[in-house]
Parts: sequence; structure tokens; C-alpha cells
Amino acid sequence: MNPLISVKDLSIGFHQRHLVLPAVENISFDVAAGETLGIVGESGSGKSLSARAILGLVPAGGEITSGQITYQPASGDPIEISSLPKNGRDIRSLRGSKIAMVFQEPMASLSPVHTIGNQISTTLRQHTDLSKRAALTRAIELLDQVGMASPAEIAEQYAHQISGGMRQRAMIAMALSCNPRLLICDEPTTALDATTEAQIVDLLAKLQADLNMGMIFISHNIGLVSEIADRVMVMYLGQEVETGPAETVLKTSGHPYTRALLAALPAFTEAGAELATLQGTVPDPTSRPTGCSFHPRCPEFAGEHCKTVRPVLHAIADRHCAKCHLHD
Amino acid sequence: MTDMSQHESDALKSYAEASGFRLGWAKFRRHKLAVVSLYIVGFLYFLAIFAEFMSPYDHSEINRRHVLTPPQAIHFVDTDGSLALPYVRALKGERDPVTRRLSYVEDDTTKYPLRFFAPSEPYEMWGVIPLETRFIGIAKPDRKATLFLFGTDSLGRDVLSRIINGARVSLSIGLVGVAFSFVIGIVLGGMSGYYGGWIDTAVQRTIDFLQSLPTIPLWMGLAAAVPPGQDPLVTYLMITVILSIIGWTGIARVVRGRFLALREEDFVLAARFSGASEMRIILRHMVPSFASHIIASLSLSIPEMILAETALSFLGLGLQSPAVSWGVLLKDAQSLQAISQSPWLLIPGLAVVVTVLAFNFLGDGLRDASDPYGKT
Amino acid sequence: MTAYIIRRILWFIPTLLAVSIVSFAIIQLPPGDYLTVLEAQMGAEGDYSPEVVERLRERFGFDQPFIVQYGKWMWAMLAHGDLGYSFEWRMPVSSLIGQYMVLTVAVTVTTLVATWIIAIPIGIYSAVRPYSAFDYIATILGFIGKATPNFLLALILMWLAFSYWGVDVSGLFSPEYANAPWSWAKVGDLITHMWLPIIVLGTSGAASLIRQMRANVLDELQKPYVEAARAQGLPEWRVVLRYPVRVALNPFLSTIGTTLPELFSGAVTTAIVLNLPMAGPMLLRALISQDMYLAGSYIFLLSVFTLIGTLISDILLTLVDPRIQFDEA
Repeated sequence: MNPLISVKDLSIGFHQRHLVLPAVENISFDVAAGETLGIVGESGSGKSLSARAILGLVPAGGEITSGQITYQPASGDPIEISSLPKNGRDIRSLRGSKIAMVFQEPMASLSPVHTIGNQISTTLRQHTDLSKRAALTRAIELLDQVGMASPAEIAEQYAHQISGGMRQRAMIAMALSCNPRLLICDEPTTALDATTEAQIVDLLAKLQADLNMGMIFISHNIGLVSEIADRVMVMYLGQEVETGPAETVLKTSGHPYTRALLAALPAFTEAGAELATLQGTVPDPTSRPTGCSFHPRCPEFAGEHCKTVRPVLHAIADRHCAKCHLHD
Repeated sequence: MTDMSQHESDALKSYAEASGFRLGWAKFRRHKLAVVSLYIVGFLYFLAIFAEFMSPYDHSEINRRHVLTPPQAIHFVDTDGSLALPYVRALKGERDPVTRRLSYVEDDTTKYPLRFFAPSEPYEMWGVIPLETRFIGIAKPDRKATLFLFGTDSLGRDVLSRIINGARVSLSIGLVGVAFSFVIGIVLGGMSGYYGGWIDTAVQRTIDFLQSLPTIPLWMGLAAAVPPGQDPLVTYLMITVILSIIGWTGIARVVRGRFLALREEDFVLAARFSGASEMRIILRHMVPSFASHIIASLSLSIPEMILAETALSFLGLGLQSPAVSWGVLLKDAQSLQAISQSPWLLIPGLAVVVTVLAFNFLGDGLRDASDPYGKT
Repeated sequence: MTAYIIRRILWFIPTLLAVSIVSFAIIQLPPGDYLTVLEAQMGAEGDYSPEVVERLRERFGFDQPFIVQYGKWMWAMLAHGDLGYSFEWRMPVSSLIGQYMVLTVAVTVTTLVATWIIAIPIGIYSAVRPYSAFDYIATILGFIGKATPNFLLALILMWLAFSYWGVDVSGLFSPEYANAPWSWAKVGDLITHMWLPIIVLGTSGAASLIRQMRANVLDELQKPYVEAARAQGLPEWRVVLRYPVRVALNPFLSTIGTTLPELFSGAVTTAIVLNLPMAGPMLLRALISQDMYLAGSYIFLLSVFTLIGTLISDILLTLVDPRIQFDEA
């Protein structure tokens, strides 16, 4: 049985003047039904872009320069998403129905001028032949399913009338409306406070288990990802630097970048020890460092070849790989 | 504060202002249409300032033998097909035997070369400097020679010369009107934004009210009350004041908005805590920081004033002949009969459109440049 | 929301009062009073009647202060729909201007609707395909349209129509209908004559509406909810129409407040050039001959219609946009 979604050697570039700036380079991952993949990285690492590519939503100016994204339907032949026409009928029939997405800022991602119920039923009616009334009834059921206290009332309200947590629940209800097989969550809790964040993460984990969905959970917070993901992929400047089972990556990280991210988390540091901070910022994609992209910031800088030679992905344990010269 | 640190902070401030100005200028330069428009506007004002010298004729010179002549062409090719220095031909009037209408044809046998700094009848520049040269004209004029590049009106006056002289009123009324509006706008808008409270409410309501009125009928009503037969200068000033009665509202809005935003800024609070007087805070600290926005919005108000004056004069409620403005000139083109027989009487309209377009682009460019840190 | 609408309607009353004061001030502006003019005129025509003059003096309160004259004018208007007396036409103003005002409002409102029908789709298309040839053409035409005064555009179109098709396109009716009573045929004749005034009046408004619509939609297209709508699987045209356009239409409604005064302004000059039986020519003539009750009534009514339009657009906006803060008012 093929995995639900399979990404192979995916590269995405942006046209600027005469050159193509790489934003994502040769990343590969699979997600199976019932499995959660966490993608971790700082802003600019290409994590959201990779996820959007699965829905065929690479922003204007960008394009997939190589690689394949393959979706395996419940029955029938696999579909190669990366070769479908942009915004064509085929990709649209997957969006919102088989593959759904929960966005970062629910306030900005919900329409300001339509009621919550109206927006959920729009998705439903796009992919099913439910009547208007039936779609609304189903929308209210969905709102109930994501834990809204009074779903019928919420359905009548506009995004600006409800709280941040409720908005994100509404977004999730909208994403779940057509029983998707893959749910992509792009930083779903960034705009929320810590308590609400925990509730939303629990809700997503529960829904995923109940509905046996595949899930891609994107975050800059490696701690949060480790709570929900089965496997983790760490990205830096458009490249995957480490991939492996969540447990293994946390305990025996194979890349200095992962270790640096973990060292910055209070929960992973011994009591009393000083929190480490990662030096410097993510370089501009136009001036990508030579050799290993991470070398200017690397706390475990290993010598001249880090500056000159690009590292390759090494298998360091079962299903655990890292892209670092330390494993040469 | 010691003298030393005062000196240092002034130096820093001027550095910051210079770099802000440079940033804005660099940004303005990228706006190609705005740069071109700046040159066009500059050229038009140059024409207006030196109108007597730049125009081929005196704008009020009546020429009974050349009434409603069409624009004359400048020739570069001789009758034998060889290239020649630019010249014009004499016009012969021919009367249609049936309709008795006069029409003009070029006389192939004549040839009047043109030159720069051509001799002319004596005239006075700005009413003081006696001159006998015009920028362009016929090198050796005789009685038959004419240079009517945009044709003549019903009294045989040269339309080009009238447009150039009319630019004086049309272009300056924008500046003077905007200056009036600016004074009212900055005082009322500033009070509104600075003090807030009931003053703000009152000014805002007044602006809302004035902006919701149809301007032209209102202007017409006010302009009709200007007693006719006055000194043109008095009429001119009264018309400008009338235009400013509504014109100030837009500027006041901008000033108020900036005041509201700046009132809470740290450097204004700092000045207040250090005991500077309110007037000093406004003039020394607040006005410079939004000067660029004001300049941009002023340059967008100028074309509106120009259009308004043109419309009023066209309707006969603004300036009256013998004063010349583009609106007064267009009054000659009011009937279908006039424009179907002499379409060149519409050329002053082209001058209006070009000017207004240039000011609009210029204003857009300045507005973008006034925000040097804004995106694109 | 209802409270807001009621407050907005209540606010309309002081605004109307202010307009009436401004209009009456314009009536009062020219020096001297009309009776002197009228007496001179009657005297010259040899039909001087002291009773008429006395009745008018009493009726308008010419020998009394401004406030009393204003009160009498207002009272006559409110109680009897009496707008005063035209000294030039020797007729009550109200019986003189009815049809002209109706035609002015009809042409203006039709233009407003036509402007929207044309400007909205062009603006949307320009925003969806920015920097395309279509967008550039629309932009250039828009700038030229904005820079050309109404009366000049009217002159140019009139000249073109005359020199290419040899037709005189001025007026709102064919000669045979001009003084005919209203009938369906006359309405049809009116419609065939209306296109030119609509083009003349609508061009500058349409130009700025296109710019505005384009900017609004471009802004909205960048917003995350548009991508969210794409991720729902909606076709692109539905994504654009259902969300950004819907949101961009709201500030559009509020532009009625600025478009309408411009349209009524433009209608006056256009009517004068094209010789339309609308408010313009009669207003101009009244102003030149200082027939002030007639002129003032025109100015007053044109302003009132503008204000009513703005009021309607404000109310529509509150009904359409759920985000309006009603406590602001």
C-alpha cells in the first residue's frame, strides 16, 4: 500500500529578474493514513511553502522546479499532484475535500463578510451535492464536533464576533467538512495564547485519531511538534537537515541545528541551566552560505569542509537521517 | 542642555532630514511618469512666467484680415522636394461664392523662414522691460506673413499666444487658491487634530457638510455674486477665495490625520515634557515631520483648482474677457457651430488636460516619495 | 444597528438646515433687493402695479432682517412647497423647475448606475490581471478621463458626432417630443438621447471608481482568506467574486458620498454645453440675470438630492457590512 502522500526530491524556486531563487531544495517525505508528520523550522525555512505545494498553492512567481508530489486515493491509481494544471478542476477536486488545510491566523483566514456557517457550507456544497439546508445542518454538526458550546449560534456569527480559539475551531471544522484524508495544519496555534494552544493541539490529535487522517503539522516550535507528531522533519533554508521518529530526533538529535532548537526550549533544559539561544538569524535566500548552509551559525562548526562542501543526508539510525559533516 | 550637545543634536537632526529627503528623492526618481510630469509642469510655468517673450504675438492683437484661420503648418520640405530650414507660407483668403464663407489656403509661391529670437513690434515684458524680440517668429516679416500655429479666433487673435498668456491665470490660480486653502486647512485641520474634543467634532462636521455639497452649483452661486466690471485682479482674487471655501477641506483632513498620529509620538511628548511651548511644538517639531505629506496633497489639489476656474470662466461666471485664461478661451468654443467650423478653438482644452494630467502624476509620485520607508 | 440608522437619519435634519441657510445666503448675496429691480423692470415695460409690489414685499419680507426673510422662505417651503418667485419668468419657482429637477435626478442616477456597471468589472479585471495590456489601457484611459473636465468632453464628443455622422447630439429629446406630453414614445426618445450625457457625466467618475476598485481588490487578493478560499477547492472566479470583490464593494458603497456631488456638479455644466432640459442652463441663466429665488432653489434642491443620496448610501453600507462599528456615528 502506498502512503497517502509522497513527496520526492521536491524543489521550489522563485523567479526574480533572470534567476530562479531556490526556496525549497530536494525535500522528500511520506505521510501515511493515521500518521502525523511534524515539520519544524524558523520562518523562511520553506516549511509552509512545501505544505502549500501539496495543495498546488505555490504563490505567484514561484514554481515547482523538480520532483514529484503523489497522492494515493482510497481506490484507483495514484495522482501526481505536481503535474496537475494550476487551479484546474483536478487539483480543486482534492482541495478542501481530500486534502484540507488549517491556516495560521484564523481571523485573517476567515472571510470577514460571511457567517461561519455560510463559509463551512460553501466548502460542503463545492464538493458534495447537499442542499443549502442540509449543508448548514452538517456545518452545525461539525462545529459541535470541534467542541463549540453552542454550534447553532456560532454558525450565525461573523469571524470578528467570536474569540481567537473559537475561530481556529471554526477553521478546523471547515477543514474537516468533507472528511479529508490528509489535514495540513500550518502553524495552527501561533496566533493563540498558551492555554488555547494546548486545547487546539489536543483537539487536533483527537480528531486525527478518530478519523484516521494523515496529518502534517507545521510549527516553528519543536517542543509543540514533538507532542503531536509521530515523525519529525527539521528544515533549514529550504533543505531538510534531519528526519526521524519524533522520539529519536528529540533524544538523539543528529544535527547541530536540531540540538540548538532543543536547547532553546525550557522543557528540554535541566533546571537551573541557562537557556541557550541560537546565534544570528536565518540568512537571506539570495546570499545562501556556501558549503553547509548552517555553518555560519553552527555551534559545532567542524572545520573548513563545512564552508566548502555541501553535506549529504546520512542515515544515522533506523529511519533517522541527518545532513551534517559530523556523520561523514 | 549644554551648547555642545545642542550643537550635536542639531547636526544629527539635519543629517536625518537630509537622508530622509534623499530617500524620498530617490524614490521619486523611480516614478518615471512623475519625473516627466515634473519637467512638463516646470516647462508650463516657464512659459507662463515669460509669456510675452515666449508667445509669437501679443495675445490681444486683433487681425481683421485673418479671422478664424486654421493652424498653419511648419514646412521642412521645399516645393522642389529638397530639405529646407523650417518655414511657413502666407495664407490667402478665399470666399465661397455660394455660402459666402471665408476659407484660407496656403500660397505656394511664398516662403517665410522662421528663426529663434525673431524681430517683432516693440512690447514690454511684465509691463516694464521694453523688448523687440520674441522667442520664435518669422525671420523677415512683411504685411502678408503670419505665424498662427494654433490658428486664430473670431477676432483674428493668435490662439497659441492666447494660450501661453492664459497660462498665467490658469496656472497661478491653482497656486494661489491652494495657498489660501492651505492656510485655512492647516489652521482648522491643525486645531481639529491637536485639540480634539468639540473643536474636532465641529470642524469634522463642517468638512463633512461642505464635501457633501455639489461644488459647481455652489461655486456658480457664489461667483455670480462677484460684481462684474471690476478690476480683473479683484475678480481673480475673489474667484480664488470662492474656490478655497471648499478647497480647504481636503487639506484639513490630511493635516488633522497627521496631527492625530503625531500627537502621541515620543518626540512630541518629549518636547512637551521638556517644557516647550505648544506653538513651538507645532511649528518646530510637528509641521516639519509632515511637510512632505502636505506637499503631496497640495500638488493633488492644484489641478482641481485649475479645473474649477476653467469651468467657471467657461460658463461666464469666472474671469471675463479681456482677461485671458484657458476657461475664458474655451468660452469661444461653446457652440457646436463654432467648434465644427473652427475645431482649433478647443486646443486650450488640450492645455488643461495636459496640465491636470501632469499635476496628477506629479502628485502621485510625491505622495509615494513622501513615505520614504513605505513599500515600493 | 437600528439605533445607528435612526441617529444617521436624525443627523440629516441639521444638515438640511445648514444647506438651506447656505442656499438662502446665496439668494441674498447680490446687492440690492429684487423689488427695486422688478419695479424698474415693470416700469420700463409700462405695467407697474403697486399692489403686486406690495404683496411681494409682504410675502418675502424684503424690508426685514435676514433671519425673518429666511424664516418666511423656509415656512413657505415647508408649509406650501413654495420655493419663492422667479422675477424673470414671472412665475412661482416650484411650478417652473419641477420637470427639470426630475430629469436631472433621472440622468444623474442612471449615470451612477451605468458607472458602476462599467467600472466594477473593469476594476476587478484590472486587479486580477495587473500590469496586463488591458490594465494599462484602462489605467491610461482612466487618467485621461479624470483630467478632462465634463464640459470639454461634451464639446469634443459633440464635435466628433457632428463631423463624422453629421448629427447634432445635443438635447434630451427629438424636436417632435420636446414639448409633447409624457408618453411611452417620449420615454423611448429620452432613452435614445441619454447615452451622450451619460458618457460625459460618467467618464470621470468611472475612471476614479476603476482605480479604486482595482486598488481595493488588489489589496484584498493579498489577504490570507483568499488563499484559504482556494484551499477550500473553489474555482478561481468564485474565489475572486465571493471574497475579495465582496469585501471591496463595501468601501465602494461609501464612494456614493463623493461621487454624487461630483455627478450633480458635472450634470450642471454638461447640461449647459449639451443644452439639456435639466437644472444647468436655467440655473446659469438665473444666476446671470440675478433671478435669485430661482437660482437659490436650484442650488438648494441639488444639494438636498446629493445629501439624500449620501444618506441612502450610508444606510446601505451599514446593512451590508457586518464589520461597521455602530457606536462610532
